Amino acid sequence: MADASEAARDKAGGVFTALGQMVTRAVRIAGYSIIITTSGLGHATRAWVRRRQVLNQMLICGVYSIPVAMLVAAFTGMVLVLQVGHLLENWSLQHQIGSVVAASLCRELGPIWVGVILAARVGSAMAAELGTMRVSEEIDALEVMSIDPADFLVMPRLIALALVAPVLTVYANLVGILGGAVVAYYQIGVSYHTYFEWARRTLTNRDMLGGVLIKAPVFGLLIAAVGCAMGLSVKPSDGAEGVGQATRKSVVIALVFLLIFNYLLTTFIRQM
Amino acid sequence: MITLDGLHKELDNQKVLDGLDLQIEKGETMVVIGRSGSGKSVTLKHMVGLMWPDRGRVIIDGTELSGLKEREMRQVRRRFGVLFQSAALLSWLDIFENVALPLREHTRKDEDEIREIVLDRLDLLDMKQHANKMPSDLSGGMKKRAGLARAIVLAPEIMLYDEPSAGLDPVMANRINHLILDVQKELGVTSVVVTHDMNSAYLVADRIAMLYKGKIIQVGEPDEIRKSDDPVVRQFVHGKIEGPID
Repeated sequence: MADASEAARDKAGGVFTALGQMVTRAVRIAGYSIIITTSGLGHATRAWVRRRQVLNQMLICGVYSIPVAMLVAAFTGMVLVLQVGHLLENWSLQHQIGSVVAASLCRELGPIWVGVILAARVGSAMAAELGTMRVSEEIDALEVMSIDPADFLVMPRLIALALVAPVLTVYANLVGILGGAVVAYYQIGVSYHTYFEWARRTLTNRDMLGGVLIKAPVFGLLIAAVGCAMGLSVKPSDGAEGVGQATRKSVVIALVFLLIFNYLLTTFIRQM
Repeated sequence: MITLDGLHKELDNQKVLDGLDLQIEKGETMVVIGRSGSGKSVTLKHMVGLMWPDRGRVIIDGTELSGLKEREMRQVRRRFGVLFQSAALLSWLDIFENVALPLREHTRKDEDEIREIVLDRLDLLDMKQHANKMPSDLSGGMKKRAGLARAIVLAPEIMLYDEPSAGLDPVMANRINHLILDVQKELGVTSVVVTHDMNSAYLVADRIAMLYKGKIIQVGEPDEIRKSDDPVVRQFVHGKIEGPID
């Protein structure tokens, strides 16, 4: 009996220890990401000097992400209409499906999906690239050449992602709404005019600006900061395994932060 | 002059440097020898502030590094050129841009001047014809020569070489050794070379220091080291299996 209670206590202790370690790790990563962001943005005035790198990152992060973002947004709008449209038919409210799709995409799904795509496609690539640079001593070489990695590597990535995320979000919102319109017309029987009229009636400036100008740039900064932080935290001795771990962690951590920040920003935007 | 005074460093709970003392005179080529993993590269990284000692001091021409602010440290680093073991060329820039990078970052030279200096340095290292290639298109020896060109492009006062001949065939290793001598002659730099290649050490060194168990156990001219009575040094330089080195 005593053994059983001791084992239960040990197990509970183990859970708390693991939880404590997890919280410590999360705080450390968050702290390092904040340091990376502030030191990177501290060089933001040099964005013009580094315009080549910024534009290059915008091309890699933004332009090359357009096809996948469009695809995801279109199918999100389409499936939303299929699911909710048929539900609304029960109350003969299917003509209002345009407002549901527009509000969902512009307020939540557009910025979040773009964030998820950027975290998976771009944040992970940043972690892998900077981690590899750490392992192959390229970061050391920059420091020896008195070139600050925060200025040379981090700042262009932060600026680029903060700029391209809103643009991608606008595209994603538009394509998602258009995708929904097609399905609403052919499968729910709602005319394009009715669909867009309800979309227009529902959307407010706060919806448009909150998603595009507040959430998207914050998500962009967040993903770049986590990607850079995870990449730069690789030690030269970690080798390929360390780079792999940094890449994997960067996606998981960015997604967790994305969801937390999305809730906080939604609360903030609703109070505006 | 570079002075390493009682350096202690632990990495992953393992003592790497254990009171290392070494003095490198201006203009000389000091070669630090020792087994793989003995802390040679760690010693080199301390000299340029890429690592900081747990205890001890690194003094460059009377300036102690540990007391410097980041901005002052950058000024000190600009006096150094470093050839990394892996050459550490930026993979997304071609060779010309890699070599030009320090000039673009730290000087106000126009494009023509930069071009002239970069091609001159590449020519010195017989790399001019590869200026437009990407690092991934080069062999190990070519990468090292390109890395050396970048290291000397700002005419440093102190050159650090981390295992310059590692991973190269004997002909290319010898070529790199002669390039180290050429750079020494052309620029009159103070050089520190870490290596476990004794042929390289004897060829380029004015003095050789043996690093063992985190300390420098002997410093001397190449002939003194070759004929050393110290059993550890003797075992290492002659590559014998039997001896005190475990």
